[in-house]
Amino acid sequence: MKEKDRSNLGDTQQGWLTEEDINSPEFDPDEFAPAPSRNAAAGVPNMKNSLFLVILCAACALVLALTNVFTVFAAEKGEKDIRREAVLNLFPGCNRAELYDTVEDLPVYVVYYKGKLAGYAVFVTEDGYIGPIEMLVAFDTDNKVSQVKIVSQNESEGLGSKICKNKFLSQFAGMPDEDIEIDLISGATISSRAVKDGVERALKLELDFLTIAEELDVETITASEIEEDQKKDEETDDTTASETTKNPAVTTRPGDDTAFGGDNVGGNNANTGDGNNGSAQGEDNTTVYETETEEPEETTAEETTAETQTPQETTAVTTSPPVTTAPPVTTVPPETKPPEESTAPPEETTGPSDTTTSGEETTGGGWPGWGE
Amino acid sequence: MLLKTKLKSSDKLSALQMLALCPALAVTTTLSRSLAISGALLVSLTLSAVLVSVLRKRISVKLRVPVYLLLSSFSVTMVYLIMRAVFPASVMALGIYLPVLAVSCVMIMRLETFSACNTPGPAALDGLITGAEFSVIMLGCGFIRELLGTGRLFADPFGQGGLKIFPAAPVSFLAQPAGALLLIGAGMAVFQYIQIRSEKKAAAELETV
Repeated sequence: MKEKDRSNLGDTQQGWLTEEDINSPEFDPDEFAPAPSRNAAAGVPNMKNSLFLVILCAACALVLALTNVFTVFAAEKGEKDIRREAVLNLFPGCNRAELYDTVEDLPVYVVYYKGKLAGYAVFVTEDGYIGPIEMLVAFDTDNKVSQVKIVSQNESEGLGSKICKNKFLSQFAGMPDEDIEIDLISGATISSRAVKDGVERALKLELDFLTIAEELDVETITASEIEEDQKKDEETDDTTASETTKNPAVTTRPGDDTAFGGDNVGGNNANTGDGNNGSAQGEDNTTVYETETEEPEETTAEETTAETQTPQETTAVTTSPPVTTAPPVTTVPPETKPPEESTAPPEETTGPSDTTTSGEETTGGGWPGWGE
Repeated sequence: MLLKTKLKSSDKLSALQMLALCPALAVTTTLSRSLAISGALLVSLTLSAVLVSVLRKRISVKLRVPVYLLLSSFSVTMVYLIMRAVFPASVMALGIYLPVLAVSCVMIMRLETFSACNTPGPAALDGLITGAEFSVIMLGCGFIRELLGTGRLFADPFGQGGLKIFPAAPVSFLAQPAGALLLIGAGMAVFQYIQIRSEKKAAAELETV
């Protein structure tokens, strides 16, 4: 029986030919005859074949290994960049995200704001109704879920894909609290349960913000402090803007205004920023931060009383961080606000806070396609 | 002569070739994903076709299938490794569907029926043509499914962003795998109709002569 099977093997190649082809005068049966078998004796191990297969496998493995060596660095970097950008979208204002560790196969990323640890986020993949759902669970400094975002999913359009909506995802905020109940989406029970399971899996890792900070040996900063700091940055930027119109030798860099609020610029910083960049920013931050304890009262006092006092006070603040003052450029950037705006104190104080909150909302929308 | 016969015989397999479109169901939800998967198939099919035709005299009948599998998985892994470095987003979005091309039936079929008995030149050409055919089908499928299934176009491989063409998805059913099945069925019907009509025409011409 075995021999018969072997002799028929060549027939599978002929199987594509119909009788018409075979009967046609142009048909040459020799062309389609199977190659003469070199191992006609059945049962006898053929060393030549085995050797050929071994050599072929070894050659393939070698070439693949070499390719891997040359591409693995770029591949890992690209994957990390994508993940980093996704993480930074969840932490408004932060400009650097690093892979901290992989706990139970889940990559944990830490996020820095000007060199200070601002939070961490975990990537979780759960099986949904159709395919895997990859989600990102962001934690704040109290080890509570601050935000959940779906990174990639393949659920049914219009039903399961509703898990990407903020209405569903915002339920997870503050998650370890006992009294939080998640309303699953009707019609997408399995998909939404998968998200819930994923968040619970991230919670089960029981990561602690302070131990992470201790391990990395960095300072920490809470979300509210970041907000304050951002507000302060914008204020200093405004005052420098009003100043630059008076003496055009000192100007602000136009990018700085958006660098702390906008995501894209922050993402770029994260891509290019290595250790040196981060530490330098950290130093800048501390100098600003120390003055902050006395500063808020002064600024409010200034703005409510009179505008004439501001130059003396603000120069002390604005000259200290080297980030805001660039090498002398004579052209005034178009972003700088006209001085008339700074003369209206009440709007000015509410102005920056409004912009920050609106910035958060847009970043909270995250993936532009799904925010409806 | 041989080439002609082979190509002719493979024409009659179009119904069987449909099986090769299985990945279309899962992958072609957006145009960018279709582009990634069809590009990967085009390159890896050509590469493995050349390899098989170079080694065709050394491959004994007994070792045929393992060697074809080895070479096709080798070329797919090669393409995967390179794509992972160059287009990390599309590789992440495609997930398992890119490496699984190694056992795609269109690949094994072309290796078995054509590359195994041809010189590298025609084998490479055959790989390119088959890959291009596959790409056209995948891209068409991706275009229609993205446009009608999600109402957007040119979204990134993760399905986010893109140009909004319709305010809502006109036929959101098409974005699901079953929608792809329906679409391919409709496409096959049109293809069969054209084929049968041209055959009838040829037969009518023969009669008049």
